[in-house]
Amino acid sequence: MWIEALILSTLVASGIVLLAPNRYAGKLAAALSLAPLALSGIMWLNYDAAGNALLGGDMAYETTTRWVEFASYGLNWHVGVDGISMPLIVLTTILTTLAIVSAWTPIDTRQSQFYGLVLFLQAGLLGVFTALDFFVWFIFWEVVLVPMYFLIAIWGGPRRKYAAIKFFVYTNIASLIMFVGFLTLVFSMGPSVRAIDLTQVAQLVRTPGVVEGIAGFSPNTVKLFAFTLMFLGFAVKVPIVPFHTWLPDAHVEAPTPVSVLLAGVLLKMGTYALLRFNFTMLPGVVRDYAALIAVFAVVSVIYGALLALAQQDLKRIVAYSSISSMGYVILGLVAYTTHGVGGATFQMLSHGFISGLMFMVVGVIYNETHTRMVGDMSGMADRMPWTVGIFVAAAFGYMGLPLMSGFAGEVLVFLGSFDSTISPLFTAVAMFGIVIVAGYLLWAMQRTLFGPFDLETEYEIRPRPSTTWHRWWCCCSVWSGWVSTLTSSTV
Amino acid sequence: MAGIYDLVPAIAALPLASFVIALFAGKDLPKKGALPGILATAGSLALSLAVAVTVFTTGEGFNQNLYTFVAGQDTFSLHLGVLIDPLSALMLVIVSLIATLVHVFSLGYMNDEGETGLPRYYAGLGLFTFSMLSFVFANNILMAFMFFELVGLCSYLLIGFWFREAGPPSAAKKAFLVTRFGDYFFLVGVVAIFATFGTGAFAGSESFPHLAELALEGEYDVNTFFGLGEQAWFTVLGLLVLGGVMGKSAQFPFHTWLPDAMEGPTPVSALIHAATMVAAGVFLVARMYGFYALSPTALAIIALVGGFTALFAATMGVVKQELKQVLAYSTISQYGYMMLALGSGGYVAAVFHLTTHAVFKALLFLGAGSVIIAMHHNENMWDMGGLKDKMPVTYWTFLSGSLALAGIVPFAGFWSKDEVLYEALIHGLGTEGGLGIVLLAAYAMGLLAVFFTGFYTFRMVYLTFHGEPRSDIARDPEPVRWNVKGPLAVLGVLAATVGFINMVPVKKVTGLEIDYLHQFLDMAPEAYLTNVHHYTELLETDAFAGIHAATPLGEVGTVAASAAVSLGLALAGVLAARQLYNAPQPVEHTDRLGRVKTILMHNYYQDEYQVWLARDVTVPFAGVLDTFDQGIVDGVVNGASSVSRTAGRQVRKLQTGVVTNYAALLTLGLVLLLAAFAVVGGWV
Amino acid sequence: MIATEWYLMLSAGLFCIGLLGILMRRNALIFLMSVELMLNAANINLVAFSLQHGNLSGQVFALFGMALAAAEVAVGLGIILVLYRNFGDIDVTSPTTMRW
Repeated sequence: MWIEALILSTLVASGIVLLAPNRYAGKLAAALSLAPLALSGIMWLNYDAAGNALLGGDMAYETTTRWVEFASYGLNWHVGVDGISMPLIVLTTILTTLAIVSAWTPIDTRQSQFYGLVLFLQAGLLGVFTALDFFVWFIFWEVVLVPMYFLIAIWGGPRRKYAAIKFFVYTNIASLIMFVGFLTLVFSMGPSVRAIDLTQVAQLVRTPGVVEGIAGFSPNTVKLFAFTLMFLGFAVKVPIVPFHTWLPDAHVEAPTPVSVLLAGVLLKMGTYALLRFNFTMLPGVVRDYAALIAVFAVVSVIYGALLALAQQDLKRIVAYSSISSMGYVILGLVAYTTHGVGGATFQMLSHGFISGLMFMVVGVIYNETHTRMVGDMSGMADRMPWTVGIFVAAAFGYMGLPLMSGFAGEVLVFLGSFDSTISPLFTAVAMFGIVIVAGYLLWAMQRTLFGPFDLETEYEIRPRPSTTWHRWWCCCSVWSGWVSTLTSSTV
Repeated sequence: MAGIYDLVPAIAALPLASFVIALFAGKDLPKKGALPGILATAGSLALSLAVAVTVFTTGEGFNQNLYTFVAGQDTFSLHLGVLIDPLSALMLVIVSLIATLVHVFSLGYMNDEGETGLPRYYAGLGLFTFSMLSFVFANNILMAFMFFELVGLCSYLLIGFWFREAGPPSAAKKAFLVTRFGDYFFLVGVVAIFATFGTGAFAGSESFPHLAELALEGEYDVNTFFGLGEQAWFTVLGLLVLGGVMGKSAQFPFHTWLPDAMEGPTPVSALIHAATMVAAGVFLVARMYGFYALSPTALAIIALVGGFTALFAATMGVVKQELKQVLAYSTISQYGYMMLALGSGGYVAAVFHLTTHAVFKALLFLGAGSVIIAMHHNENMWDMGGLKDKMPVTYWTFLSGSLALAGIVPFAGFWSKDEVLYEALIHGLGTEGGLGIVLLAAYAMGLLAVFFTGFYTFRMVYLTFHGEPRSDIARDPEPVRWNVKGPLAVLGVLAATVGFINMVPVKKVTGLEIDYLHQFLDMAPEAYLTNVHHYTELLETDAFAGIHAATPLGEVGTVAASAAVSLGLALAGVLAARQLYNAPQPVEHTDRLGRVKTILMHNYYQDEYQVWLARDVTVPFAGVLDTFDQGIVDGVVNGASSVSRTAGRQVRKLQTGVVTNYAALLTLGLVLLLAAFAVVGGWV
Repeated sequence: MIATEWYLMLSAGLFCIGLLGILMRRNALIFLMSVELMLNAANINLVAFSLQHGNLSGQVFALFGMALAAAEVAVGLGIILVLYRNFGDIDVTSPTTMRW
């Protein structure tokens, strides 16, 4: 019942906030978001399962109820958490609360709707990470898009409509492709499947001989077809190059708190689903095509980093570097070793915190200066030392500096992928990302934060209540490196 | 007596505590965080000394994993741990000593000069010391890498301390980027070592150097990659790690960051160059010397890079105008000597030179700092002159350091540099094949560099302290206080005397057992496999490095000849400098070099091509990719949407809004349908 | 008794007149009348077949058709009235603002 309480409390909070007056909406939303935060915290502390539930690992807080019965399939309300989803749930609740707090300053119109949608988004995300029945899961998966669309389209920047529509249509088409892929897999198993429950499907698919050929194609072709469609679908969400172009647009146009959630949690849906579906259900295909997938991962890392180098907008820089960071996750997943998957899971978490922090700091600078362009400002450290200090800390976290969480994830991915089914050359090439990431972040920092103070736009010194929060978050991001012990032993 | 070893983590934890205190409470403390820093580093020094004494008296070490941060199920785990053997004990003493003195000196250089942002400064120093100390006692290569990188971060923060100016942030960025580039290879090496051996431990029978040794003897199976044989693969591993070493220790071609790093406060330069960041690279090679001793190719490359860097940097030092620039190039050059020693099998010589260099280079930088205070932060030597009488303490200590740097007997640098060259010579002569030739070539370059070292060192001394004052400030320099003079005095005495710990030539001539450093380093517990005789054994095995010594003039004769040659060259350099620059109004004789000077002043255009690579190759390439991304990749996405929009726009024109048209279409459809039925149904 | 074919021919004729009216005229009133013609052509058909089969359902349907036609005229005239108010005439091609 914990999970239901978690999702329900978020939904109720969303409803209350939607009806609240604009003046109190922000504070109210923050207060109400503490409920799911506390719940997930308690769940985390009492958590006693480990491993990937679909591979026979334990599951905690599980409920299964027959929901709808039709023809030969049944729909279950099946939710539960395991070693992969638990950290992501905590990530979601923490980031949502922080995003709400960070929205107090920049969001000054239609507040109640904004915070209501953010909480609604959280409900969707929690559902995605907990649902274990495909039908339920897919509903949550799609539900996430709706509040995100409005959050970008209403409170976004000048090209918000373009960005919002691009985001919605692109990811929605991807979902449909993925849907076809999954159903192909289910139908190919014939009457042995009685419910589209993920645990059952995963078990059956992995049993040899259960998948039958369809329309004259051999079972292996069917598996490959299903794998490709699902991979394409999730690749858009991650995003993997070349399906990434919605991301920079969405990030640049989205308001800061939404960027935080977009980079921090929404991207993880893609890798989470890849891990849940493709890599768990069809490991054979992964093995056969590991090199090809690794190429995608490596290209994402290097190409994303190089693109970040070419950007002038701080938010775009962070957006492209997200593409690069998510490439590491894919690399760790495709290696499919203990350290690889553990590192990938941890990298999801650490990227969630660090990219969120990064977007927030850029947001603070934008609030003060009304510009995000590298050429428009220099020497900001002189005027906003704490913000810049956090910026520097976050940037070094992004660069994967040891003792910060970014390092733990990356180095585990590298250690896991070097000696695996894919050639170590992929790992070696992907590692070069750590040089490029240092290049563009340090370069951008040198030009904007340091040197003599100069600003093209108006600047006034105002009290900045939210920076105190940022300090705490900074500590949290930096030191979450040590959580790695926990995570990698649970995966 | 093993109790002291339980306190080893505290050696690093104390500076970490001072970092936290300075960062969060430094503003409210007297001296803005300097006092906790001094106390902490002094505490570390005391503990390090206790540890070193314990190692010395008991001959026991300490090698333990303290914390497992990733527990691998059926694969390797990752640990943080402590390894105390003579090498790390010695290095701990050096680092904490220099750090303490630098903290004290900073009182004079930063506090008395009224700098702002001091809590940040002292926090940086604390973190720097913490990282370096942790790096030194790391017991596995991953932990070493972690703190190696952190050292890079601290150098970034401290070099860029004066962030309001344009220069320091740029220099800081360059320092971090260039060393990161080296660290990339290091990280690949670390990961590959874990993949190959399943462990990253430095010492013991389960350590990767020992496993590599066993693998070469065919007693142990390891994974190699890319179809390479074991020997070749280990060479590749060694070279990958060497990338990080060359970045941090500023070896050619990664040396370009170091002169720029002079933008940082002078005490920081002292810390970086003498004991921490730059020393980290060489220390790493010494730490895993058992691994390098297996690969002749890697040793040859180390020696060649070292010898070349020693000469190459020394030539640039000859023309520099600024005090700290000369010292910067001398640092690069001196670390070249250490690499030369390591490459030619002189493990003790390298550690010895590391020790003496730490002392005299810290001294020279702090002395330069004292001069800079006196000169109101004007660093140009042509504006100085005649400071000898105005600041005697600085002069005499600086002179002590300069004599050590130039390698004049009996100052510290003579003994260590002589031993480096001696090792290179005898091993070059004794080793057969390509490696021997390479060692001799490296020796020749190192020897030539001795002359240049003597020359630029005393050019610096004469220009700064001798002659007539050449500017108003030099006529009336600002006095410095005890907190500047104290550290100088300590280091001045040490620079004169620290060489006595390992007087190999005297030992060879007289037969007295006074090579204490050699004995100390040899005291590492047998089980660790990090002692000198184990390394010598490895080096002399033909299946591994196959380095042998040859002394054509007999042992005494060779050592005497080698010492005489290097001392003679150093003296020649000193005398040449005296001839040219010891004048009341010296002139810039280097102008006579003509175009050569231009090349030297531009540092052989090394910076230019690296900046060109970054700014004119990588960034435009990224720009092209961005255009490609926006145009082609995103173009396809937007193209898909425009195609559907255009199609929709065309099709909707059917919807005219005129009922007549709809009715016509309806009728037409009906007629066509009927016609179709007629044809298919066979009515026609 | 008159053969059913004749009724059908009459009905087809009426229907075609109505159809042509819709296709060729632009006056909304004529439209309405044409639609009436077509509906009544259908009614004739229904009645004719009802007669032929001796089944009353056809006639019942015809009654429905007449009721429908009456309702349609009522709505149609209302539309025409609105059309006249807004556009000043009852040409069906003028109100095209509701398309793209």
